[in-house]
Amino acid sequence: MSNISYISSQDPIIKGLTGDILKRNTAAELDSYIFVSSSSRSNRLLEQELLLEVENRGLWSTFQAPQYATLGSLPHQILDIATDKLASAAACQLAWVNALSNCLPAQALLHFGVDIKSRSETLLLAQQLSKFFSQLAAEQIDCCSLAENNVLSENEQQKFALLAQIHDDYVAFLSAASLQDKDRARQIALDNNNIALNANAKIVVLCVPEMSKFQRKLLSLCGSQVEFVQLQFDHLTNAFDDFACVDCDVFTESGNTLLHDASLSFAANPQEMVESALLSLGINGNKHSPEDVTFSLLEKQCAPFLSQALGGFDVDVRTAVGGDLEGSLPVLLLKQLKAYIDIPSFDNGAALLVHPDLLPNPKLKAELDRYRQEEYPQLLPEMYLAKLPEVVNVKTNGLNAATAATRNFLLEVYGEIDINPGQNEESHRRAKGLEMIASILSEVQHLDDSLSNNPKLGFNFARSLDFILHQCRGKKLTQRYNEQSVECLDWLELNLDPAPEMVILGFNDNYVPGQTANSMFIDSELAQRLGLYSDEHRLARDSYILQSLAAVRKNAGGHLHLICGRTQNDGSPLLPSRLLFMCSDHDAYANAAEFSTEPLPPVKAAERPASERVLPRNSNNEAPLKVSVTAINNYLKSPYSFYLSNHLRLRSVDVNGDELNPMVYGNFAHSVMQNFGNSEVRNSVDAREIANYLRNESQRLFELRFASPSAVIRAQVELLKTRFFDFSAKQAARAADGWKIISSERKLPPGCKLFDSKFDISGIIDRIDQRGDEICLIDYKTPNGKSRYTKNALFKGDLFTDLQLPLYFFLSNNFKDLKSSKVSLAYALLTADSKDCGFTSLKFDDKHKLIAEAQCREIFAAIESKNWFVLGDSPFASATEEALRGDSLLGVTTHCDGK
Amino acid sequence: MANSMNPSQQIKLASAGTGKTFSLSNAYLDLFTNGKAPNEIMASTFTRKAAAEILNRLFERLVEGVDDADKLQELKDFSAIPSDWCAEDVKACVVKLALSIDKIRVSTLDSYFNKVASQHRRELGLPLQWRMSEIHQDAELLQSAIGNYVAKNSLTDIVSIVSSLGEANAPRDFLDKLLSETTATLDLISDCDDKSWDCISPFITNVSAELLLGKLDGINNIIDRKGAESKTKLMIDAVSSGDVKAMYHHSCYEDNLWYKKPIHDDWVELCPLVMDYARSVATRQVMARNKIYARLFSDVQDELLRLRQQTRLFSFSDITRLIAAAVSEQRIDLADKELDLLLDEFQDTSVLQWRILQPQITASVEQQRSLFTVGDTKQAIYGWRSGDSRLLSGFKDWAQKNTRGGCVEQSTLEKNFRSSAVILDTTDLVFDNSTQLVPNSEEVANAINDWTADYKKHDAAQDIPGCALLFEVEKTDTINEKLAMAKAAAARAAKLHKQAPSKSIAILVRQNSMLALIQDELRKIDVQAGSHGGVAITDAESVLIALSWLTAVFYPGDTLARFHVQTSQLNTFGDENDLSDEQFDRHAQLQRRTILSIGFGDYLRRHVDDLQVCFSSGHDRHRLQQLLDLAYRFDALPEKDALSFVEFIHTTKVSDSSATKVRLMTIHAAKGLEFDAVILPQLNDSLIGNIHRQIALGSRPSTIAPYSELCAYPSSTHAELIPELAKLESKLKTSRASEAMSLLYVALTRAVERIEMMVPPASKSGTTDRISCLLRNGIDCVSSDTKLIFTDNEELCLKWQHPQSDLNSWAQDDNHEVVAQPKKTSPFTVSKTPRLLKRVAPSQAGAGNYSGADILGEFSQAAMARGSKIHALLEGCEWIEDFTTDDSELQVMLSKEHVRSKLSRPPAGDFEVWRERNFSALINEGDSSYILRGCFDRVVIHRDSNGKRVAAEIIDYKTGIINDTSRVKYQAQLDEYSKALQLLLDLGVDDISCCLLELDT
Repeated sequence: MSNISYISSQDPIIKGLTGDILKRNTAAELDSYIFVSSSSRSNRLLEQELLLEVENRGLWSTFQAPQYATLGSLPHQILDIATDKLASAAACQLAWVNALSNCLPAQALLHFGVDIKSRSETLLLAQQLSKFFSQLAAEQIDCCSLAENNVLSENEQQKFALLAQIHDDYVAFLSAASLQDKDRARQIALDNNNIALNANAKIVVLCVPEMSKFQRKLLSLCGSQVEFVQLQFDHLTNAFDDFACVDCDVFTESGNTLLHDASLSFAANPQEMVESALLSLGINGNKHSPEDVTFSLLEKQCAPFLSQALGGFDVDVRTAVGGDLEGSLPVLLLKQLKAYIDIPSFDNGAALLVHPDLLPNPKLKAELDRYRQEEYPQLLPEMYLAKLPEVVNVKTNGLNAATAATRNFLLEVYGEIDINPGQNEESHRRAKGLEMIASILSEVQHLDDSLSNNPKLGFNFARSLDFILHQCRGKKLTQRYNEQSVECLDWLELNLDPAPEMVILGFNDNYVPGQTANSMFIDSELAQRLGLYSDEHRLARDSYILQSLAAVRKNAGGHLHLICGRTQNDGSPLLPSRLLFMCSDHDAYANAAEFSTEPLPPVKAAERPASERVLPRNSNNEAPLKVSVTAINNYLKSPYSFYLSNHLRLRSVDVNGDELNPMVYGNFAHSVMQNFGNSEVRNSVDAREIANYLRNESQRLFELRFASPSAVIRAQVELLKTRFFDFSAKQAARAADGWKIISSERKLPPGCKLFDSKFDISGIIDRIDQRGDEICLIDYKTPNGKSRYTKNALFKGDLFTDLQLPLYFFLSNNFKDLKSSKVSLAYALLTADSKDCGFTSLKFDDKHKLIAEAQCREIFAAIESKNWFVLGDSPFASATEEALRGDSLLGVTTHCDGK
Repeated sequence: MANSMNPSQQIKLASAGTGKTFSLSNAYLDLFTNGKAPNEIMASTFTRKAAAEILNRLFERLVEGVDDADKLQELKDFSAIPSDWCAEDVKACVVKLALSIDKIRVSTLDSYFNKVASQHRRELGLPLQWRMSEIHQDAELLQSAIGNYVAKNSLTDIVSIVSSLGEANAPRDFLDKLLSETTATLDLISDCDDKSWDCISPFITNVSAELLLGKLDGINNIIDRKGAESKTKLMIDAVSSGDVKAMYHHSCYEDNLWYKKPIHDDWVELCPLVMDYARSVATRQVMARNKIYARLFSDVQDELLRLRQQTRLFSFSDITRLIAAAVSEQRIDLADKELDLLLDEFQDTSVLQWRILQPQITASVEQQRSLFTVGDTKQAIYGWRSGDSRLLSGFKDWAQKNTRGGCVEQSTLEKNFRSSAVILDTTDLVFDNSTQLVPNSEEVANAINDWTADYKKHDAAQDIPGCALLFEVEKTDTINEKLAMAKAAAARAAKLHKQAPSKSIAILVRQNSMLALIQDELRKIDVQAGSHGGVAITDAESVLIALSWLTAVFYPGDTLARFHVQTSQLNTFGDENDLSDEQFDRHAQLQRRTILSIGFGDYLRRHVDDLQVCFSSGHDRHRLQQLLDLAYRFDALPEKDALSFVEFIHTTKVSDSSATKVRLMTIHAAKGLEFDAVILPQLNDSLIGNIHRQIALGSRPSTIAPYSELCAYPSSTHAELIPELAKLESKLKTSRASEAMSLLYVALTRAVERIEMMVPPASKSGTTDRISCLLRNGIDCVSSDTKLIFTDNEELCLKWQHPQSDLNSWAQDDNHEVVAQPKKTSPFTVSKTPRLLKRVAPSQAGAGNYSGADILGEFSQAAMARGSKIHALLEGCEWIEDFTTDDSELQVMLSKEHVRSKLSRPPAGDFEVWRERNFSALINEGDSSYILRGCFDRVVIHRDSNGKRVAAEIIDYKTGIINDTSRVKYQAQLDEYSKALQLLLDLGVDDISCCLLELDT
């Protein structure tokens, strides 16, 4: 068949085509036409042009809309296929999974390298199988013939025999569900010559550069009803075959591309590629309407730079697709649901609860942050669990039931929410995401029992969700319509695009021509041996597209701007497209010479000199009315950290730790010791009795507090018990030495003041011991090492570095029962090293008391005068606090007052 | 006449600057111009930059050969092209090479291995759709692996393991410790055999603690001196508690003296016994720890691999390990007999990499293909990444012994084309004289001897002026040594840059931590410096604010982050600065939704302008751009959490492609680069470095064998007591010292004409194991009478200058060519009509707001299928009077009066009926147009007596129950149908009626 008509590449393609169509037909005849092009976008352009032409010619009253198709959709428009019997994508995948369940795992591992005992691997393998058999169908190859092909090795033959067997099972599973595979249905219809095409119908195939064997066979059956329209390139003869597809030999012949009309630039990296493109567009002061410019971002890393650069000129970018379905909010919600069902931990529960579409009360998020930071529980507490949707407790079996439950869950979340997809990008994506999930759920919910009830598949709720989520993979959301913007198209969509200015960013090898995607069952070498679609075909196709792009631009008085990158953002080298060299030797050499010349890097604008920076602070700072002993001690270490942590009470959230953080660990140890101090055994001299008490009490509190802790936390607490054990001996010895615990976790009375402080001082003394008329104030510490807690630990030079115990010493005057001339200070150390556990009495004589008092007075005055903006060693440093303090900033001097 | 094909196997030992890349490109061009196809030549190197440079050099040299007769001759002289070629031949060669650009195989080894892994996924046991992991993902995976390991073992076991790992038996936060220990040993344990951890023999002794305590009971004081009795108590404590360090410490006496007095005979007798006991305790401890390590690391590694399989995330080292194992076990065969091999920087090849390459090397040698290996053992600086220069030095012997007919020629490249004679002579002085240094440790002495064994003096090919200087920099009370060095380096760089702005200057340091200090100093004096090799972008306030903002949005409980944003200059991010908590929480929720919906990249892009307004310095703008880039990279990862993003930003290092002439980088990053001047401010580090962080040591029986000995390294005291451990420690020290020398060599040889070294004043302690000692020893610098030679206040003392230094040459540069950045102007003008009109279907009309329930309800497949079926059946119905159907459901519908009436033929008149008719129409409304596309279910057109269409009714079938809300929506649809029909029939709006035919009502 060779019903080919050529249109000159000198004409505007779309306009030329529509004019030609209307010249040859009345508007009424158009309903017998099916226009076929490579992409649906090309069809849209064609339709639009046709309607404008109808409008211009005033043909509405006779106009009957034609049909449009892509090569992929054409079979279903012209073959008589019972569409209600066609298996959905979900049904197909489930049929593949069922078929694989019949396969021996060892066989699958041997031939496919896939562990089909793993659910996720099986789902992926099913996807690959589907792709592979579609490829075979397109190339009209029977898998059984491969299994018997003597050219192939024995191992390869066995692999294809196994594949054929799995395919047979797949077909059988679909048949049992009264369904048919799309490719198989097409093939049967084609084999039976079931063409449902009116006698007067015409199929016009527009500028399609390549076709599969199946498509060729199909069009052959349509005979003279098919007409091909192709571009004519004056410098190429016999460039197309009978189906108007590119002749590989012609289009891969070097010297055949005409690039002298294209402008070519090499740029160092994606950012400079964009800069180079904009320079090229604006050369000689040229200005273009955004609608006259099309970009193609073959190098995806250019996207943010382009958006930003165009944004600077008040021009938006619209891309071909609107994002991945997997990234849409409804799918993220389902993923979070799945995570919580798999592992009902606090983190997963909280993450589900605070999904923006689910969170009933925005305050809850902050509450959970605080709860986590201070308590670090392993389970979501009851009060929060109650807020989770009912579905988390669903114990369904079977895919259909689980899908219904999932739909109900989504209805519960989204049912009442008003969504206007036209409102903004987020709403658009949310609406489209929900639409697509709804469609997937519908597909899955109506799967035949024979497919979904195979006991080997064992679909509980979690597995069902997994399957549903798998259906979302790879699906793209449609793009929100946004006029007045520059369009970014994929390479294959460029072909019929009429924009006079076209910019290709990333005209590099591997992008164009790209590598052919071979299936995991046939590598490129085998594909070539079998005569399947190869890199040569891809090169020919892209060579054709490049020809057409250049020709159309030339004719439209515009330009084709090819921007080659040298490297990606991370420095990975990029090679120029070999299409650049398939021109005349002269041009090819010139391009190669340009590639070999490294451009001089531009000199960047001078930096602004180092800036001065004032420590961030609130505008409204009142002197505090109450300060804790701990806070005063923190002030001593870093006034600014005191300001942040104690005065403003700011907190940082740490969700990365899998262990009890030091604060929670210390609190837990304190709780155990507090109970010990109030227990009957508190003054026991029997180390074993004390050890038993501490062990049992820590276990009791542990079980009370952590419902289902991780193994790491269990181990942490178990190791803490070791510390208690080591401590017990020292405690018993102390008791034997006459010391008695008289108070545990004793709070300072309200309204305590010290040294004329204007604020009240609060605090809790961990423990008070007494021996005769001696009193000892004790602070519990749970450090790893004891180095910071020696008897001289409070001092450095002539100053205190820690005032906690001295402050308690002074404040103990507020307790009437503690009037004693012999008050000493000590640490009770629960250290990591057993030999360091025990008590350290601190050196604190009259001289020290005077120094401590002077220091306290100084601090009180500083706090009262709001002298908080001085840096010191922060006791709480988190990444955010470091940022606030300016610790990691270079070239910036941080000042306390900006002077 | 063209050169004949002459495959050869060569090793080129090439000192710095002798033209490794040049030689490799010659070898490549030789093969290519003699007919080898690019896919038959594989060239590998170590960095992506080097790979790009080799590729570029191939084209560059050929193109130069076309344009320049001298260059053409040079190509011939170096046998890069056949001797009878003219410029036209070379030109044709350029085109030929360009046309096969996709076949050129010049890459890094990692990139090559990545391809191998993709091709052999099945054989390597990689899961489907595996991919390379990011650094922060590696850390998370390891943490999870350890968490799972803890969960899988009994509590008692874990407590016992954790208790025995360090000196403290009950650490609070052991997960971090396990994490760092595993990270530090992963390389060792990934290449060892089953018995590796059994390398320590038990030490048998009759000495027990009881025996020693018995002897200590009533022992004489160590010497006759006040306070000496406490020594006995300390010894008793040490023995009682089995404290190895204390026992060792209290038993060590030189010449049996303590405080210069002879110790008591009891102690002379006791100390060796204590030492024996300490050794037995230490040996038991190490053996116990080895046992734990063997199990712990092996189990964690298995768990890690399982997690990697599950998440499909693999690191480069995993891939290398998997391929090496598969090659060793002959599961894959990577030997291509038709391949010519060009291997660059071979001294940095690791054992695992060697195992992968070895079959190919063997094949190439045995098949008499070309094998061109270039490297320099003096530049082996990747020992920390398992690089082993012995693979290069032993290559020739290996080839002769292990390949059939293998005869590899080894030669050296000696002419240095990079540096001035002064630079090279300075380098020679340092290394040639290094054997005269008397180091404190034996290991350093060994390293120096080994390293310099084959050292040959450099030979400068170019006659260019040079200058080599050594400064002494003193610390002060307020400025420590590091900061003093940083300030000095920055001051010198600024000065040199001012004198010769077009010349390249590099400040090279050993450690990343020094980079930040110097960068800070440079900025203080307003010198813009580019970095290389990767830095985190969190050194800009704009980035930190953005991260705090994201943290606050995702974690409203993080009030610190919120405070950071609220108190920043940023007030255009939203008006949230004065919001109440509740308002902020609500606002944060909205922002979270947006971020989750559109991703971090798009979200930040929307706000980047606001950030740039507040943070307008070049540094901030640059960093914000990099933040955007990373945000888009992060969006491709499965994580969606702000803290993961923050972690990603903190851990990801980005290369800075700034075009500044002052560069700041580590010496490792400077490998392969050259600069007009090099400043070295970090020369006082120990040659051995800090090995106390090492937790295990290993040793291979031969260069390429797996580790046969692995041993825990609790402390250097343990090594003093256990000979096997001491041997391993000694090996490590020697290799560390050797690598430090290589690093110094690389640093010195990056300079073209000027080198400035900075050292602190000579140590009075007699320590000689420092790099500065090596320098001082070599250049024999004056030790007194320092003089200030600079007139400004740099406070630098010049201690030494090379005698031939030309101090003035640097300032002679005045041809400073500045390439101005082109001015950015918009290439756009006001937009015209959109190219692609909006396309709508009538069903979308009136759909402004709809609920989730609407969406979820619409996709009832059964309802849709039923609707389609009814529509299809009704297509056959022109008038109900003439229509019959077997479908019982439709029969019921058609029996309804309101349905019958709509489908009945009107009593009189000429009517035309359209059924299921597709349409598309161009609707113009005011200034805007759109394409309306759809299908009429049924249109009944009334014609007048002249056959002219005068009125029409649109009937839209609806199945299912319709409520009032839906009716309103459907009315909007009907209005759209009407618009299309008005156009198609050329009728007015009043001539068309519309009807919703509710079939189920």
